[in-house]
Amino acid sequence: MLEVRDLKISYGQIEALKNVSIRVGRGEFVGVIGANGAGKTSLLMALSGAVRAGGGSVVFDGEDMTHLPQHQRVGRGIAIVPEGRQVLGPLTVMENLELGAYQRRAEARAVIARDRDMILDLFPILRQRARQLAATLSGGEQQMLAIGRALMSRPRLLLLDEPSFGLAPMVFAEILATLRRLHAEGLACLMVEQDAHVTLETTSRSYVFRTGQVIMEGSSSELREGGLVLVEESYLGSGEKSS
Amino acid sequence: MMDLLPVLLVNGVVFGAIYAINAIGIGLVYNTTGIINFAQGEFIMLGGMLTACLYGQVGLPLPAAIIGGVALTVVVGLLTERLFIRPLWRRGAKDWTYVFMLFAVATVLPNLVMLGVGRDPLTFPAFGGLPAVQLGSVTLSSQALWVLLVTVAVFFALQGFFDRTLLGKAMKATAINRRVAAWLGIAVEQMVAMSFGLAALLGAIGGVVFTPLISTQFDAGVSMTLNGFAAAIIGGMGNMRGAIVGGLVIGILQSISTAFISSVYGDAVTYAVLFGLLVVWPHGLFRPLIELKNEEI
Repeated sequence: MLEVRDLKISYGQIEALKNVSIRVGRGEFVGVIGANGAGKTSLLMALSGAVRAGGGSVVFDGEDMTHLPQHQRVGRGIAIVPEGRQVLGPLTVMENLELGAYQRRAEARAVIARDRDMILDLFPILRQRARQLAATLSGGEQQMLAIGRALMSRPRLLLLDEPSFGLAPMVFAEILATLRRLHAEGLACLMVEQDAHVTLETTSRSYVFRTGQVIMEGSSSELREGGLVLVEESYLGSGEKSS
Repeated sequence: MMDLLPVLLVNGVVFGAIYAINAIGIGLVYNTTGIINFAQGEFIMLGGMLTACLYGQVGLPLPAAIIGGVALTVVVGLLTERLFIRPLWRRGAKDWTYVFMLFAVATVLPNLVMLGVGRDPLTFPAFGGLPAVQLGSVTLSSQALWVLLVTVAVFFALQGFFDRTLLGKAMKATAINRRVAAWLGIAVEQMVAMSFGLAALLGAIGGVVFTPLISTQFDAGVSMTLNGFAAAIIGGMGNMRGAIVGGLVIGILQSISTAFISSVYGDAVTYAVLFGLLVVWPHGLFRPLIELKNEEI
């Protein structure tokens, strides 16, 4: 479904991604783990079109979208839940959801309203908060809104950037449970996370990033059993044990 | 002298309305781009001048001349964005580069108008159709009533656009956070183009209703820009309600200080008072839509 080949990203002189190749199969839940600065977020920036690829290619459902403008990628079926949630604080919960379906503005309102109701069923707390400004929500509620907003575009691939960021473990566990449910219903997900344990437990396959390169890939269960020492090394760079 | 006060107040409100329209236009562009459009007053001048030309020199009937004048001004607004803003935007220019470009536009446009039309003030007849209104001792002329009604209509039309339409909300989203708007599939460049088009539309409408009152000429835009900019700052940049209040404050201040103090020092007095207001309320009277610019990547 998603085929990334030799992707390069640089910010001025700094190479954030060096020839990264990854793939996400249809309906697959794939993880990307690695320390801060490993290039995980850069990967998502390139996939969502927020930064330009300096080389390589991104093919989604057979279409080369390496140079496709950012706003058109949403219409093609790639939505992102950005790091730090990034809800539109001065707008209401409903308005945030409505804008998530911006690329579907040609569709009948009733169809979009039905999807919105489904998302409010998925996150009932958002229904209670529907008329509130997004800025007044708690961190967990904002994360739900960010996910709901992304779902409003009816994506086939959901990009998740550090969904645990700033959330209490209990709250994050609840959000993960919802993501698993969405995945079970057929949604492909690419999740970037610092928390390797959670990622390997949630995903079926994972890539380990270090300094802008893929240093390991495999089924998450294998990585969990056999390679976790190596995974931890990738974080610390020297094999010391982390807490 | 005090019996003059009601007249001055009404005059101030009418001038304030045009500053308010201008302040709203400046706020629209600021919200989507973060830059101040120093060419905003030129749209007022163009709206008035082009309509006057189409009416007086081309000989179109007034309604057709007005539609033509407004449409041409909107085209100029869209071209300004396309030729001077977007190329810089794509190359990641700094804010002051845009501001300089818009200054250049504000310098070149009046010169082109002067070359094409001349230095003489132009006007066209009042619209009529509305009665003059007697407010106590003051008469509000039919055209002044047009100015006020159109300003109110513009305000509510824009309010409805931003609160009720998806396109309006998308513009608002762009104003709040461009990066997030792009992630939602909103074409940010289109929103910027639209804000320039809307700003030009507002300016042209303002110029058209205002010109029959005092006429207009090639260099009328600069003071409109300055007063509109001041109104936007006093009201809270990008806040429409603030723009209305800011415009009225400046209009009334100018009207009163010109009459009671000196026609020469009128502007100086106005700006001295504004200076005092800003010392007390440095962020303006109303909250800007965007309190903190979100950090760019």
